[in-house]
Amino acid sequence: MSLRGLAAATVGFLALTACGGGGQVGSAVLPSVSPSGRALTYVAIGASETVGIGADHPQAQAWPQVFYRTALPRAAVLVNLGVPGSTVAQAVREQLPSAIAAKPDLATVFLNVNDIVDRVPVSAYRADLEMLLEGLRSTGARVLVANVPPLDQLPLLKACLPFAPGLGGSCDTSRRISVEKIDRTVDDFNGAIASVASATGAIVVDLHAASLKVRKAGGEASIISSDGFHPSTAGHELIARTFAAALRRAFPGVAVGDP
Amino acid sequence: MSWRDALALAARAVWRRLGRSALTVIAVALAAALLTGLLIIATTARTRVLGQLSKGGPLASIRVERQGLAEVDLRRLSEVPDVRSVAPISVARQLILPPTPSVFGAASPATQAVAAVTTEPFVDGVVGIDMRRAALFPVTLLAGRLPMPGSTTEVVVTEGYLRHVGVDESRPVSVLGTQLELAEARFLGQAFDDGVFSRWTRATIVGVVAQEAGAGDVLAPIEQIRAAERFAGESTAYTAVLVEASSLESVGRVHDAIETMGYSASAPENLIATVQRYLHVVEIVLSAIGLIALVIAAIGITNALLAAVRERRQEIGVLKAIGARDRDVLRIFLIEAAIVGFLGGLAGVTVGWAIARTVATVVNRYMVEQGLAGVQMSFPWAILLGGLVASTLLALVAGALPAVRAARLPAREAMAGA
Repeated sequence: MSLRGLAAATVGFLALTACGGGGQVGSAVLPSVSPSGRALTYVAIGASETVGIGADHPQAQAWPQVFYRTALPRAAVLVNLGVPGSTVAQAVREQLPSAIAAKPDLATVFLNVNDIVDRVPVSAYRADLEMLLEGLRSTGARVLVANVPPLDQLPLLKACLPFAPGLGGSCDTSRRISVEKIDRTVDDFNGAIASVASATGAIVVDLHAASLKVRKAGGEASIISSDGFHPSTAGHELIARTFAAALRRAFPGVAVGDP
Repeated sequence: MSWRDALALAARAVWRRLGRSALTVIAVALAAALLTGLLIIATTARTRVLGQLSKGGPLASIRVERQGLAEVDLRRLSEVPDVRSVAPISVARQLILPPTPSVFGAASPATQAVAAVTTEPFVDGVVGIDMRRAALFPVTLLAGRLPMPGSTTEVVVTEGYLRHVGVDESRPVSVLGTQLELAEARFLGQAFDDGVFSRWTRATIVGVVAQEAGAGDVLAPIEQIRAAERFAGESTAYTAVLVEASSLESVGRVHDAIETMGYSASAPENLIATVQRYLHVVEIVLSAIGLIALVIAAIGITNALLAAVRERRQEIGVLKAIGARDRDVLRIFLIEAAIVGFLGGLAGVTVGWAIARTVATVVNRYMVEQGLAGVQMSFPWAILLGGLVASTLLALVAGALPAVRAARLPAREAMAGA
C-alpha cells in the first residue's frame, strides 16, 4: 500500500465515522412548522359578546378568538379590548385610545345591542360610531363593523313582553315595548351603521342577514345561549365565520384558511 | 536508500509474515480500543454529570437578581473583570390556552395526543431568554429544538406542562407541533368597572426542555415577553441576569465583585469544582488502565520484531552487502513497527468509538425510560487522533531496540548466519 493510499483511507475513515451533535433531539419525529405568515395586529372593539359571554369557554371560544384562530395568519396578534356592557360612546372613551396605541392592521367593531337596550337615540349612536370609526381609520387599519342581528326572538326579550328586559334577567315594568318597535329600531340602527361605514370606508359585516338565514333553517335556538340574550358557542362561531367571510371578500390578501 | 524504498521494504516484510503481523496488530488494536473506549465514556460521563450540576448552563455561570434590573445593569455587569458575557431573563405571568379538539376544531394527531382530557386555560410563568445565547442558560433539550431567535410564533415547554395537560412525560415528542394561545392581561381598575384588556398570540411548541432559568412551564424568545409587558403597561425590568465568568476559577472573584456592587448573586462553583476534581482522578485511573494495555501490546511488538531480526539476518546481510547503511536498516525496522502500531491504532480507535456509542445508546434508552435526559455524544476528534498517534509512537519506541540490533548487525556475520 502506498503512502498516498494510506492517507486517503485514513481521511475517508475519519469522515465516515464523524457524527454531528446538532441542536435537535429526535429530529426525525419533529413535525415541520408551517410558515407563520404576516405579523399583523388585530384589535377587537366591543362589549360582552367580544369577551365571549355566552360561550361554554369564553376565553377560548369568544368570537374574536375564533376569528383570530381561523381567519388570520399564525403570526397575528389579537388585542381584545371588549368591555361587557359597553356602548359606542363608552368605547370611544375607554377602548379607542388603546386601539390607536396598538397600531392595528385590522379592527373589528361589534357595538350596537347595548346602545339599543340603553335607548341611545340613533342620531347620537350615529355620531359616536362615526367618531369611533374615524379614529380607527386614522391608524390605517382595515375596519369591519357588525350590524345588529335580529333581536325580536331573543328568549330574554320574549319572556318579558310587553315590558322591556331589565337588569339581572328581570323585566322592567316601567317600559313597554313591542316586536314591531324592536324591528324598527334595529332597522334604524342598521341604516345608521351602513351609512357611517360607507362614509368612513369600513366594511359592514351583515350579522342580521346571517342570523335570518339560520332562523329560516330552523336553527336559531342553537345560536343563543342559555341566558336568552348572548350568543352561544355556536353563535360565537357563526359571528366569527361571518366576519371571516366579509374579510375575505373585502381584503382577500389578509385572510387565511378555508373560505 | 530513500524513505519510499524503506517504506516499501517494511510494508513487504509485514505482508510476508501476515500471521505474525496480524496478531501484533490485533494486540495493539485491543489496547487502543480499551484506552479509547474508556476515555470517551469517561469524558461523556463528565459532561453529563457537570451538565446536570449546572442544569445545562455553562459551568462558570452566576445568577444575578435585584429589583428593577435594566439595560444599564447589563452594561455594569459586563464591565466587571473576568466576565465573558451577560444575558437577561424576563418572566411574565400569562394565561395559557392549551389545544383541545373541542376548542380548535378538527383534531390533528398531535392535538389528540395532548387532549386526553379537556384542559382549561391556566395561568403560568412564561420565561423569556435570548435564544441567540441559549447555551448560556440552564436549559436542557429533551425533545425537538429551541425556538428560533426573535421568533414570535415558537415556544418550548417543560415537563411540568406535560403533566398539566395530561401527556405521558416519557413521550415528550407527542406535544411537538401543537399550538398554544398565550394572553397577557391589562387590568383596567375600578374606573373601568374592573375590565380587562387582553393581548393574544399563538405559538407552536417546537421542543420540550428541562429549565431552571425562571419559574414557568413555557420558554419563549425574550422578544415575546417584552412585547407582552409593554402591552400590559408593566415594568419592563428584567427578572434576573445570567453572568458567565471567563473560567471556573474566576467565578468566586466575579461573584464577590457583583455582590459588592449591590446585587444578589448565586453560583454553584464550589460543588462543580469538587466534582470536577473527582472526575479528573477517575479519568487518570482509566487512562492508566488503557496505557498499561498499550504497554503490554508494545512489549509484544518488541518481541515480534526481535524474532524477525533473528529470522532475517541473511536479508539484512544482503542489504548491507549491496550498500545499505546502518541507518537504512534502522529506518526499515522502525517503519515496520510504525505500520503495525498505526494499523492497530486505527482499528483500535474505531472499535473503541463503536463500543462507546453502543454503551451510550444503551444508557440513553435506560435514562429516557427513567424520565431523565440522555447523554449527548459529540465526535471526540482529540481522543481518536490521540489514540492513533499514541499507538504509532509507542510502537516506534517498542521497535527501537530490535531496529538498533538489526542496524548494528555486521554484514559478514549476517550473511554467515544464513
